[in-house]
Amino acid sequence: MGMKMRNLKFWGRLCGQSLGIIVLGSLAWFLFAAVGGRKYAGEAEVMFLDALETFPYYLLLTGSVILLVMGTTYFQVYLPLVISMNAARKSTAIGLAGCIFGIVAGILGMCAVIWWLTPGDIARSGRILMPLLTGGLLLTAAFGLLMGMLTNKWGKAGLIIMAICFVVLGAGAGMAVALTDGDKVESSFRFLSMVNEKVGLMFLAGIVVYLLVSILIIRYIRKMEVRA
Amino acid sequence: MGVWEMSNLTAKGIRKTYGKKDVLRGIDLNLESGKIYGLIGRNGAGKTTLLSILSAQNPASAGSITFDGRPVWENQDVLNHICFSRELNQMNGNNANAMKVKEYLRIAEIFFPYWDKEMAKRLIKEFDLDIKKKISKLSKGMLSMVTIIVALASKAEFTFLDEPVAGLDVVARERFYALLLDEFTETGRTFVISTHIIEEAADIFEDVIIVDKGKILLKENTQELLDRCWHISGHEEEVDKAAEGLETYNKERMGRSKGVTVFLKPGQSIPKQYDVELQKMSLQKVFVALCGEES
Repeated sequence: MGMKMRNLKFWGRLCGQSLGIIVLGSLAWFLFAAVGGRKYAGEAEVMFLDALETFPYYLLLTGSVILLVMGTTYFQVYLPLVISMNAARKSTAIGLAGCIFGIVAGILGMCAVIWWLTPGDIARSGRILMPLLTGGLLLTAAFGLLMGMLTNKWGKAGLIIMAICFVVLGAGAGMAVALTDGDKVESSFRFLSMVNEKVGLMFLAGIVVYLLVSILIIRYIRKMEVRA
Repeated sequence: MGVWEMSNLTAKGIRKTYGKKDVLRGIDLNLESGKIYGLIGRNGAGKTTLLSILSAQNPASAGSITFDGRPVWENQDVLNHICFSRELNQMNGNNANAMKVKEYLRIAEIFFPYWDKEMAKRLIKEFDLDIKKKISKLSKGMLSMVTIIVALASKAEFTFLDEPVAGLDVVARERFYALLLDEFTETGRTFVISTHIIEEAADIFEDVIIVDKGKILLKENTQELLDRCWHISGHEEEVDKAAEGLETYNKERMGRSKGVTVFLKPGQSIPKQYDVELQKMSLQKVFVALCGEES
């Protein structure tokens, strides 16, 4: 078996396992919140199809969290391990980037299938927002990989730096929303999605950033010290 | 998996620096195939660093490693022929502590192209290893067993083992040496084994490499080395006369008696006319003489 196949076998399996975790986690959350929550709110009938069109958002949110964690885990555990088993570093880095991309593609694929099959406004707006969501998920994945790289380089200090960046960004976004008029935010969002639909700006940004981070990782791994 | 063809793994001018510390200081080494090498040195001498660079698991600060003239670094065709099964360290955060042994061996099976699954199964049974246990829960002896299984089942042409018997009881150690010799006899693979338990392993080392303070002190056929090393003891004046002109190490004094280790060069011999006692040296004593504090 050549190295490409070996890489595919290893990283492909990890990709599949991660997607499985994301689906199971999303399903648990979805069943509790979307179905159970509505039942609890007193709705006489829960139309499963109505609830199903929201399931992609659970996938996206769960997937985002998992992707952030995955970057650190893969750098700490699997990268040194694979290199210690005499895999070339470049192919290992490509395998890692490909695995994470595969997870992103899997999540988005499932979202696309569900939204194309379900009726309703949520599904329709989801279809429109796909390029935006793709870009966002790729940016999240890239951030997770960067977190992993910095943690590997600087240990806990790297993790803390990235966590602070994440908290600051999140707090900044929250403050911006809170300080802005709600209607304006909604209309801005609609405008953004229209722009996104036409030029795929966010989508392009996600692809470019993910590619740049992947190249950065290949360069970093070339000189990485392994003590598996 | 049949017998490997004759290959050479060559290191030239290898230097490794961490910050201001020189761990390896200009190592030149040629490893011929079809031998079992013993790599011995004191703690911090640079043995593990040397093995990790030879197997391209860590980059050298300077120098090159080639396999039959082809560079080893980032060359998957060459890397397929090398295995460095290092001591698993549960304390190190950068490893697979949470992984089960089964998963670890499954990954090894994927990445070592000549992996012998049947051999791995046989060794797991032989060592009575519970592969469902997490690596973090293994005893030191069991960690050594995992290292040995990966090294032997990898079937790599050049296999490096770093302290493979650390933590093994004497019965398990004897079993390892027997397995190693069986594998060597059957396949002619090259093994480089670093160990601190020198006396036990000395019998299986065809060549010995002694590393001291980042340099190779000597690389020689084990039997030839032992044949030219002697311990001379007796009255101080007699010992001094007998050892005159010879390379001496590790001088000991006990009152008016004296003991000294001599290394004979080609053509040299110890004069027989002096009233001294001559003793053959064990590999461990040779190592202590060369690398002990008094040297």
